[in-house]
Amino acid sequence: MKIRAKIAKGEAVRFISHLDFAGTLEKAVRRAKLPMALSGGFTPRLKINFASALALGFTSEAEYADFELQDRILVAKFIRRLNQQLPKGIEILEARQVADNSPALMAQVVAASYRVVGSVSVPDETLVFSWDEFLEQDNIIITKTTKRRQKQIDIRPWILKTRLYPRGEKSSWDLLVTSGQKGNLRPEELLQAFFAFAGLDGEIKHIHRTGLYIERFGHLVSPLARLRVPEEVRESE
Amino acid sequence: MSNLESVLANILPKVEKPARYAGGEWNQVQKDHSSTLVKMVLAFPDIYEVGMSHLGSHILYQVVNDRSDALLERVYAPWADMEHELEKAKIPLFSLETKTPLREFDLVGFTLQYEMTYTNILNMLRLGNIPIRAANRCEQDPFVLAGGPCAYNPEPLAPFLDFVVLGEGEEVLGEIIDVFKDWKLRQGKRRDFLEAVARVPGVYVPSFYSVSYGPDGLLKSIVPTKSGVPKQVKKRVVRNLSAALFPTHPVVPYLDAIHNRGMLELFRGCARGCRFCQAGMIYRPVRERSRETLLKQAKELLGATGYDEISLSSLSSLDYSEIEELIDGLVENYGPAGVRISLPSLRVDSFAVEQAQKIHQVRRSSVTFAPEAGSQRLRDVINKNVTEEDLLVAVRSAAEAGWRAFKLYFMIGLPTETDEDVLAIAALANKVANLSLKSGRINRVTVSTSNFVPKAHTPFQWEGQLPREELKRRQQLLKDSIRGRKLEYRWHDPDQSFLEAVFSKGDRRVAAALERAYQLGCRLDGWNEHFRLDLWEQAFADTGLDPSFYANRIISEDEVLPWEHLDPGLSRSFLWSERVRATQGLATPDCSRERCSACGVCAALELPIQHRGEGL
Repeated sequence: MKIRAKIAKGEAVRFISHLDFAGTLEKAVRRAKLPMALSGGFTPRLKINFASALALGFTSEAEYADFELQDRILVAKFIRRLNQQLPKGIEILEARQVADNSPALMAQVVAASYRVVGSVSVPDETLVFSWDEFLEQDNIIITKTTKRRQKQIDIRPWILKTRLYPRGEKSSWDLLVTSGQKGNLRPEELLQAFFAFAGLDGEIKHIHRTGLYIERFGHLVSPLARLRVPEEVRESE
Repeated sequence: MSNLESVLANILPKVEKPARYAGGEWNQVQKDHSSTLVKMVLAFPDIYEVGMSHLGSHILYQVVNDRSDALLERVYAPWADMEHELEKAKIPLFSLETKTPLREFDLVGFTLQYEMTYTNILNMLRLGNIPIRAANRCEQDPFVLAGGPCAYNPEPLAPFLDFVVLGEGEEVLGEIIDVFKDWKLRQGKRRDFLEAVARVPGVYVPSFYSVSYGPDGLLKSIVPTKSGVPKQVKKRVVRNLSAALFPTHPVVPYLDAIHNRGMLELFRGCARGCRFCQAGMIYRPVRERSRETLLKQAKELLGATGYDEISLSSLSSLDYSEIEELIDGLVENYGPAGVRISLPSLRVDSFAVEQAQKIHQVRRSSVTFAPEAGSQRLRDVINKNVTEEDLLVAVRSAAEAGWRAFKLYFMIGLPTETDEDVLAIAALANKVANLSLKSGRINRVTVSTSNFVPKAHTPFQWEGQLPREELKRRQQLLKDSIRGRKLEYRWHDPDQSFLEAVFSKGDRRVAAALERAYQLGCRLDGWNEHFRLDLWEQAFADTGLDPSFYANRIISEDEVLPWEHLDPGLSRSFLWSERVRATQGLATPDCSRERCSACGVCAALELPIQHRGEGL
């Protein structure tokens, strides 16, 4: 069976890299003695697949992973036993069984939402004005450096929805951005582009992932959402 | 969030691998400081990944934290980037568990695993706001202690340490804590504690000994200056290893430690008697754990950590008396769950290869053999009882079992070595690379050489290291003679080995150069990117010391050794006779299997003379 879980990565573990986070979950799964499926070969590995790697230093309440088990287990028991073995800061928030043949999570993620806390050196009104002006642009070009190559990219289409809470030193943004294989906008890239555009002194204090989304019938939904075909789709079929 | 923690939250994003400083790992022990009487921090003078791979630290962590009246936290040497950030933010070096500054502990214990960490010790003291020199510490400062293999000659560190522990820490640390507790409740003076702790067997208080030198600069005497302080401090050992505590729930690092796996300690000591090997001398006698104990510990260890690999860590693990049965038991219990078993290095024989094959080490990595010397003559000198035939048979069986890559370890500059011996390394590597095989293939043979460093308490303690230029010439000679597309040569920096020799054989006078080097900015000397020979040379010049006096000079038989007052149980006459036998090329058998070689350890420690497997 396959269990999909939503995992929190809190303050206590924010400085652990994604690879070490994955290793920590693997060890916890072993300690919990869950009936996990193993890959074959000389070095058998647990079958755990993550939706997306979280950058070092970020916290999150929405990491997702699929766990493949060789025997059936109650989902509630899976959650309880795993949580008993997880260090402070890591917690399984929610889980449910998904179809054994459900495609890899990583390939399905299309968007991510973040809460970014930053401090800016301008009055709140100026900040609001600049932010609106920034978003009103048709194109927002940033330079991405990938493997010794620099690329100019228009990130405007990747900014899906935003909300600014202007509070001077403790301003924050809710950002919904494209994420995954069809385009990936990192929240710090977006904010840096804004600071540069507005010519203001800004500093990002903290980034917290609030959601990861897959697409179903034109809607962004949580990877844990139960599939229910919307009426309009059913009618058209 | 405390003030320190909020400052940390700003600093950590700026440094490489911040998890090195974050703590919070699984099995970490956090205790309340206000209600715990004795607060100790275990300071490992190298970076986190190295320190977390050290079994001894895990043992001590559990030994102390199992007590209700004491706590033990951890701290590691910060990497250069973190040191810079700590200084910039003006925050003192702190423990991982409770982020407590070093200065606020009662005891700060350093483990001395290798000489190239010594500047890190001084640097960690400074970053922890503790006076570097023991003489400058006042009543409210912590006591700084040290233990580990290099503690058998701690003289270059003597002015910086309040006291030193000889032997196996878990045997002594409890008594030290008891003495400390007593002293603290009595509200004694700093000096009272040192006097009390000096009476604990295995404890050495450097400030209670006076050292005198002759007009020729040679050491004249090391004598206690107080009554009740032993003339010679004898090491302590665990007598029954099966009954001794083993860390079955060690802290599990988040970061990939160098050994990201569970460690099972099969036995202590090694009696093969390689004459250059300090570990083989100071950890005697051989004491094994019973197989039942080991299987039980493996079960607890894997259950409490979740590791998917368990390593059999001892000095020459395959020498364990029931190694086959143990490996079979582990494979049977954990093979199906995907838990791997690993051996750190292989003995040079086909039995070793068979065992490695059984645990599927094939294809996982290359196989490493350590003949140590290229010619039979020189292998006889160092008492490495391995023949060329042994090596070729081992390599052939490994290659036929599926290994493709081989690593061969040798030493350059061993006593009596000639150019012919050096060239014999290349010849041997060539033979290995061109072995005719029934099946399989040898793709790569990597020859690695380290440089011989004479160590205290070994038969070669009187020897001098070859001058660096000569070591470099011999390396070049080898470089020029290792040819062929399958062959590769790697060597160790002679400058670092030279410094290692200075400290391994140094006396108290060397401390001045160490302190000067640290002042000049030397840190992390074991890391090539940080090693600064120029600064070290300046430090020796500034303090008027000739480093070659320590590293390169041959000590005569009647000279007083700087470590004469520290006793791992080996008799001087045994070490000297081993040195003589070396020059005659005479073998001394492994006393854990054959006859006793009268090294003196069992008698000195009042332990029964036993062969492996006896009395388990």
